[in-house]
Amino acid sequence: MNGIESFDLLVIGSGPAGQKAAVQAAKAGRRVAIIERQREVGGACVHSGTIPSKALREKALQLTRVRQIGNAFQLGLTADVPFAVLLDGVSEIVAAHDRYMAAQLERNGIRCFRGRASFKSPTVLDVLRIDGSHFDVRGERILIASGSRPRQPPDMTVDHENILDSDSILALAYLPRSLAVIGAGVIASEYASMFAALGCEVTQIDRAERPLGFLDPELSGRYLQSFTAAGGRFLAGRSVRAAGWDGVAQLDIALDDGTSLRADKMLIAQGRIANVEGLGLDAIGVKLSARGLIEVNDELCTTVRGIYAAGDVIGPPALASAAMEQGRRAACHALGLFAGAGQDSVPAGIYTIPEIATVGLDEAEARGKFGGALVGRSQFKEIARGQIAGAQDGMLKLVSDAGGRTLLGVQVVGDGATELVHVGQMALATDATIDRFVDNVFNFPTLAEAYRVAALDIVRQRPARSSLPAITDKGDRFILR
Amino acid sequence: MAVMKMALKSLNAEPAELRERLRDALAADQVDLPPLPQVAAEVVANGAADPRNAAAFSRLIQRDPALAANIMRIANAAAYRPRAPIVSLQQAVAWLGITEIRNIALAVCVRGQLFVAPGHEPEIHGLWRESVATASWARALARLKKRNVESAYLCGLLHRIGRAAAIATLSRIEVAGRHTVAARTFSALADEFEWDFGRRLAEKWQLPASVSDVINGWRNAGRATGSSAEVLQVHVGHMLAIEVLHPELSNLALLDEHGALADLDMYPDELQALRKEADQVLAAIAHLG
Repeated sequence: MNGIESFDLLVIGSGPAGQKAAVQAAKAGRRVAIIERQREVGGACVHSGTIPSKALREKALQLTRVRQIGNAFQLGLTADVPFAVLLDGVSEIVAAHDRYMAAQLERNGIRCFRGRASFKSPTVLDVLRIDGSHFDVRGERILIASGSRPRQPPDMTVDHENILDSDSILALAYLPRSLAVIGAGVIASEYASMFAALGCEVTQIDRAERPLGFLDPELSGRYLQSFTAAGGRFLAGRSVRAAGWDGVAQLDIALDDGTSLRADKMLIAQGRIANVEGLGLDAIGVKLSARGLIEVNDELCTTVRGIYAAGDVIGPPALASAAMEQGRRAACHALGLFAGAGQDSVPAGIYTIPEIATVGLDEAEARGKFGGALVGRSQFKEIARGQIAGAQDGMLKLVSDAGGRTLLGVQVVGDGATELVHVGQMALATDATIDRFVDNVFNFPTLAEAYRVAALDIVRQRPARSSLPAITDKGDRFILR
Repeated sequence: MAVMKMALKSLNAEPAELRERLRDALAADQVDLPPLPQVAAEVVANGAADPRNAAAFSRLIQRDPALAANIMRIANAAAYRPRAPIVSLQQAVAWLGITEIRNIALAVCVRGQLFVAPGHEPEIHGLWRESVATASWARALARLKKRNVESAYLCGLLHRIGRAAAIATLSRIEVAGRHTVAARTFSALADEFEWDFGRRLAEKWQLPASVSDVINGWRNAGRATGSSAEVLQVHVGHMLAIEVLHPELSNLALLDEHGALADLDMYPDELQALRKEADQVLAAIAHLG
């Protein structure tokens, strides 16, 4: 096919996975191009997901802190606060991030085509430009990193006016008095806790018995405790049978147990689906799972040789951090580069209020894999910095082998959890022992001291003369959920 | 009806003189613009769909019999297909919802206050239909792109209030002077002063920043980078409004040339899908226009 521009790697999508893959390949001296359907690079992460929602969360946190210190002044939001005020500065943050990423791509000599890609063959993409014209482009290897979008329930219409999804909730004009959140996963719990902290009356509803059910129950319990303390309520084991506008001011929401409730707005956050429509995957034989996700092997290669996939299109954990690592590794595998280690210790950060972060194995996983485990706990309220910061609901858990020597995992809940977990991540990556935390000197006063307190808790529990050997071969223990 | 404070003694003025007088009056802040009716002000201040004060809003409407009657007439229009005749405001609210009632109330108020120009009824009526159509398209676009739906409608409805005010003012000049300004001159002056009057109204009515931005920038959306979503939605909405109201004048290719579709991330198939909502837009024009 003469006249078609060719690249060593073509990347569909410029979100965290696509961007990191492209940069990895470009830094290895390969010719790389990204095809992005939107005007800006960065994907949903930057424009409708991670960054805007975290900016809103920051406002909710600020309000929570002000309330903590200012009860005497009865501080709070007025009833008619424009929602845009709470997202003040987000567009500047997004624009700055956009500029940074665009500059990074340009600096690395990565070509960016704007358009919608579809496969003509395993090595040739048809690109539909925004003006309706087409062109072809060839890639020796192609990475699909087209992301995901909120799942729409089949029996309810998301009108983006009264019933919202996790994209349109950020376009609200006013803070509603009440909000029903359908779902118990990460996105549902993040928004539920944010709106509760902003003073909204939040009801979270799900079939599950507890929110964030995939987490260590102690962590999800802390979330529920804080959420309830902020005025939220969680309706477990229930689902929405019907929801409709009452014609006057609120939604009538009927649950499958016969009860009902009313709310100004409803957020549906029941997972996300992969953006695979229009890619023409059927025609070239890329196989999808029953859930519509692209199937990949350990090297992130799809069922078609030379075509790789990374990020939300391959499913959980659907975290930006994991997507970046998947993108990087996919590029390495695609181009025959050394991928290195590191995937075992990708942390998971959940931006609820309070924050939650995990890395490595939790208690149940460690017991399941190694037959036993010791758990060391440190409550933030017992740490000087926790007292100073008023971080009463925080906790750090270290999980070790049954002998109390080898670190297997870290879970943190509370202010700064997503930062604090990186100490544990580095310890895991360097095979640090529990004793290393005991011997280490941390800044005082800091929350990092919780590592030492939790390590001492494990030391206290060690068998007097342990006959259990320390785990030296951790193998594949850090499988991402 | 508000009248111009400016001196109108030389009413057989030439276009140039009339232009100068309008300009001087605007510069000296001597043009009387109508106040924003209380109901409309409430909608603008609290958001078109803010449900918090539904009951209070209903009471506000009830205090204005003419407005309540207008809402009843519209609620009974064929476009809404009520199951049975609507006989009370409460029933209208229950049937259409407070959001729609707010939109209707805003439309009725703004139209009654601003879209009145004796001697120029066809033009002002056409402008009104264009505003309703633009608002409806902007709302559909916002829904498609997951933007704020209520804000989009408000911006669309008010995007040409400057032209309406300019036409109304020129019309009053004609009436007061008992003479007629030549049609071409009249239209040229309305074009020329649309932006000035719009800006003044936005200030006087304390319209949200998004509406002011739309009044200022809807014509040039896409040509300049950094247009807000509302500005782009109204720009595209206006072009689609022209397509349904005046197909002979329509040129959607301009949307590509202006870059508005690209800025909104609208691919050709998405635009085609959106255009299928033309019947709903026409229905909105039928009952509000």
